[in-house]
Amino acid sequence: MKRHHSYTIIGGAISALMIALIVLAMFWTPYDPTALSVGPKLDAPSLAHLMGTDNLGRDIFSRVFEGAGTTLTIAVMTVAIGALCGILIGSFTGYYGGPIDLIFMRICDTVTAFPSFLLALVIVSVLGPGKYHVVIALGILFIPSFARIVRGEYARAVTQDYVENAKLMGVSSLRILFVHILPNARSVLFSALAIGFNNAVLAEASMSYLGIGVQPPDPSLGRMLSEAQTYWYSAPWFAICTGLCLVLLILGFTLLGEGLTREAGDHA
Amino acid sequence: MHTFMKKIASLIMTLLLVSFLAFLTFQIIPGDPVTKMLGTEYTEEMAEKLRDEMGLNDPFFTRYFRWLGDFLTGDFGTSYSYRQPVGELLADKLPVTAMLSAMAFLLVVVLSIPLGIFLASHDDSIPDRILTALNQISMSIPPFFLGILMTLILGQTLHLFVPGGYVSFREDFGACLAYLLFPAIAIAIPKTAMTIKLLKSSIVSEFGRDYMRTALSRGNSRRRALYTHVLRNALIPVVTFLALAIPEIVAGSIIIEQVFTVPGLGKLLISSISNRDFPVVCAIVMLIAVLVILMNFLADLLYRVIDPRIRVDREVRK
Repeated sequence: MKRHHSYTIIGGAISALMIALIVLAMFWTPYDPTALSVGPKLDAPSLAHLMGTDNLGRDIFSRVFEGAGTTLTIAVMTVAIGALCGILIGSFTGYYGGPIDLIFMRICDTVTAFPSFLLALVIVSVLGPGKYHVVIALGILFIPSFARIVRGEYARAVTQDYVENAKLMGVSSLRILFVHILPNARSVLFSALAIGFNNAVLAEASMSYLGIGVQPPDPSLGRMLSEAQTYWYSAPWFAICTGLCLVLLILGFTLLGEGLTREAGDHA
Repeated sequence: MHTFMKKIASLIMTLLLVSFLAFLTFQIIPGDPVTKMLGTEYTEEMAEKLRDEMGLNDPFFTRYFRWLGDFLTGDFGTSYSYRQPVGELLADKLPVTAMLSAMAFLLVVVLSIPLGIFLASHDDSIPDRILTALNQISMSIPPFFLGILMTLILGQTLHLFVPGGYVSFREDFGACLAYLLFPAIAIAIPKTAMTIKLLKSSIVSEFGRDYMRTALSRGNSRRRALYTHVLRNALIPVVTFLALAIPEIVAGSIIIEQVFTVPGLGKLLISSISNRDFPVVCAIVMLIAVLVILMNFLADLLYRVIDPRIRVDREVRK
């Protein structure tokens, strides 16, 4: 068992804690996140309400983790779309090369040069706002970065002995692609997953903050922050607790990604 | 010179391709702008007449080239919801976003280069460890949350500025810049953190090269070697990163403008997306796309100026 980088451990711990709380919130929260007036309006944090209450007397703690759940679900779906399509495109183009590879990589270069947030805005402006449109927009945008990383790994693997040997033994191309090479690309892929996840959380929160992402009644950290902004004279904890939850979610995966990248670097 | 011409040709090709894709995207969207403009009470003849006037009945490529020609001459069409030429709408907002982005970019450069050099020359010291940790954390703070915290702490508690008190640059240029400084900081901090990290690791890896050992054995101090030899090499990836960061900064300012209620492109873009006012969205997206492509081009040119190895390498290979 190799030793993990301290970033991986701290990041993993933060992410695990956040995910545990979010999963818990899917089944049980201290209060009903949508119930009005479970406490006084804009009440400061107390033992009864760990993060206080919002302008409608709803429990912020329950709402934050409910909202983080939406953010997490969207992030998982977008990364899944990006990673699956990226692996498919990247493995074939990297393994076979040729003109298709050139064209694909040229497209990927062009797409990744644009700020992904802006492209997501364009797609959402065409499709209209909403949870699943955000997933589609971000999912499509994440394909090129995954495809590029996977392609690099496959292009390197083609010339290696174990692939040559497998070919000589008559192993089918599909088996070589996904059973022989894919496990060797895992360290690079894991760090790409963590970074992609991170970008997805950030992009979703930004879009919801601007009011063009997740729409009510779905709770979302981004939209809660924009509501909280109105009340920070009277209830600064509203914005701070919501934001802190978002920061921890991103920090955990940033550290995890950073640690995994360094481990992959040491490994190579 | 030959490669330069080739670069220009590929630049023009990319611009044409992007303009075509942008036009196509906004053509395939469901919804008829005419019925939107006429509201609820209209007859089919009225709609048909307006469609003819607007040239919506012409063939696809005719419309594309007319749109492109108009775009190049500065005519971006008419906004559906404001009933005003898009160019006029942009003329008011563009300078604000441009100033904000320029300030944020300057902050990134001014803060990150000295700090990156400092951290690299004190690698693994206590200040380095503290700053590296802070750096890692500031990369995880969404710029808009940073903006909210800044309005809360710097604006409402310390009274360094009045949140929402944006002054138009036409009224008082100085006051406008003073207000924009705060959103600029919110945009700049995460980018600065990334630049510092990149510069530091770049300098540290250059320190380990053979030429560094030669420079030291010839009696150069570490400091002198850093400024005369290492920095020039270490800055190559940083310059590329910075050039590519400009479009990201513009995209970032679109979000931050909402936090600080700055009436720039961002506000216009978001409200146009909600109203499905496509001429405005299309014009803003095209402007940013042109900026991205030009910056890529510039990064490529700069790369060649700083790093003669790339120039020689390509020419020899030919």
